[in-house]
Amino acid sequence: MSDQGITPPSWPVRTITHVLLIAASVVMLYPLLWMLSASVRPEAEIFDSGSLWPSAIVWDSFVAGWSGLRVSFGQFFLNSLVIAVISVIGNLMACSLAAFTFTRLDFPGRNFWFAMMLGTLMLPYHVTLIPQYVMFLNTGWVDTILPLVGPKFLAADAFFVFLMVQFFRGIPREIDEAAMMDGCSPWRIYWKIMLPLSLPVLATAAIFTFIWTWEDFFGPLIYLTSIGNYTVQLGLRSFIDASSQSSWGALFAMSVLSLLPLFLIFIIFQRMLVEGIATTGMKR
Amino acid sequence: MTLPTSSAAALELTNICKSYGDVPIIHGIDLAIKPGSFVVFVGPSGCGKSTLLRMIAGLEPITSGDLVIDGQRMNEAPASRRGIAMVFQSYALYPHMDVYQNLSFGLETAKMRKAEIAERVSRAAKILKIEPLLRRKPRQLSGGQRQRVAIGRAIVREPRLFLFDEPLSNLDAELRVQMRVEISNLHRDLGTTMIYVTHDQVEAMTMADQIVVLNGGRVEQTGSPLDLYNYPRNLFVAAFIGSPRMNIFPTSALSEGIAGDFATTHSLGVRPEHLVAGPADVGLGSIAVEVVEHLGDVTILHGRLPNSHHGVTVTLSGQVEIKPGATLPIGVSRSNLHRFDRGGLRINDGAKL
Repeated sequence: MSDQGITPPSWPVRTITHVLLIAASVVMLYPLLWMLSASVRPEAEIFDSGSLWPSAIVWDSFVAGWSGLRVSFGQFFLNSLVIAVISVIGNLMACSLAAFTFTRLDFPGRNFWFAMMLGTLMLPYHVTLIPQYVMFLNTGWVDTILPLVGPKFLAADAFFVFLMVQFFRGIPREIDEAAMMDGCSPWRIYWKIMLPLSLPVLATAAIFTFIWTWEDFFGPLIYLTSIGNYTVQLGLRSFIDASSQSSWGALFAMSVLSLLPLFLIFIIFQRMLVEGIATTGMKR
Repeated sequence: MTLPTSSAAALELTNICKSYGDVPIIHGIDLAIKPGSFVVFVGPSGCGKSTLLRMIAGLEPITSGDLVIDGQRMNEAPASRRGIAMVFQSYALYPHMDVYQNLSFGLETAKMRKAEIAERVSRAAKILKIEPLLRRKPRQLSGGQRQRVAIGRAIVREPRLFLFDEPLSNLDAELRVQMRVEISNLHRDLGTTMIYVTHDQVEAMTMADQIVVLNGGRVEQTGSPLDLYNYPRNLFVAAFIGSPRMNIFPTSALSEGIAGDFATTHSLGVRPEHLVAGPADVGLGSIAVEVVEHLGDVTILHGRLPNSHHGVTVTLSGQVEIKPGATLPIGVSRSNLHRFDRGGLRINDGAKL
């Protein structure tokens, strides 16, 4: 884009803008920083001081958190990771196939089914929760990860289907037609042409699926009952015990650890994510 | 250069129709294309030429009629079974594959042996002089190079029939002339049947063995470039073929003395290059010159007829010293007149057609 004709603001305006922006980000970051500092300060000090600066750095909370429960926190991390990774795979496969079907194949009632799918976007999770629970109870899937990852393989995340439909629509039809002339079946067009051209939107979907699954508290809370199957988020809740004393230091320490995977993913895929959001016009 | 001798297809269209819902787009087209010929579909935008091409390719279902390739009815055959390759207007190269992969993709899809694929790709690359580009991605290529790759992708399949959908419209003028010649050479070397769609009548005139002029989903005229130029069957073809376009005067716009000679004629067509300054078989009077265009080899005058002030374009060969505002007597030889009746159809005066 050309920026000719726009004069940069004068230095006082620039300075004031920056001061305001920095102040706003400090306000936004304060809870996070507070948690960071709470995780490394002596436990007694946590609620006594509003300062971000700990009087001493101690790592006791991390040790206490990691093995403070009946099951090691490592197990929770593993459970969360398994669920998140399977969810990512399921979403990528199923949603892209569904989106390809909606954009490139012609079948009776296509528009009707597309509208139905969009309709499910408006449906809050909590509305279908009870019937879904009953269904999974009858199939004997409760207290396994299947209710959490199974639906992902059926393109249940309408949002991602919609996102990919939008992206696929932007891929020129002539490329499909060239592939058709080259003798490709729809399956081969999907696999060899559409998917490789859709890396930005696939990356976006993968990252968001990972983040949302990782952060999910409600789903695991409903379906996972034995502590050995707990995810990180359920593990964190276990530190706050109504019947005895809560171990806040351990909670904060493990909370910090639970953020690390998200942080890493964001750092690694940041470029792809930004590109994906820019090219798909995604907002949520 | 030795080239593969792929057989050339004969094509026959019988009463081909196409409608979208209730809206008819193509109204019963009959066409026979001889093996090895270079056929150009030409017409204004929206005339159905691309739709017709896409129906031949198998990208667009045929509503009714028969499409016969080499004696076999192909209406329902999938695109890849028709022995056709197509070059798209936007090139439609696969952006994520390099040039080699773009060329080999169709052959891999057909499960051809690796060695043969490599051989065919290198042969096509040699013909099109894109060997140094084989490892580049399409976005690293210029427009002309992309065009070559798109043609290469068609060549490697050794089709019986090539389809080109306005392949040169995204190139600049100079490159377009160059590619035009190259495609003509390619046709001569390969000997394959080619169908080429364009809205540019110069491309049609220079490349075609046979031109099919389409308008509003109907064939206006089919014939060799010179047939169309010399004997346009109706006013549409007369005005469409030739540049600058033919002058068409209603006989009422001509001075009475001349109009009397053409009692049955509704309008007269005269190509600008057939008008001459000074006395001729048929004098059209002195025109008032308004604009003079000096192109070096020719001088084009835009002016108005006396009395009726009907616009007229005259192409005079060479460099003619004349200023806007001048008057110039013009005329035309009787053999260069085209006469059309009230319905816009050509009136033949003993001449061919």
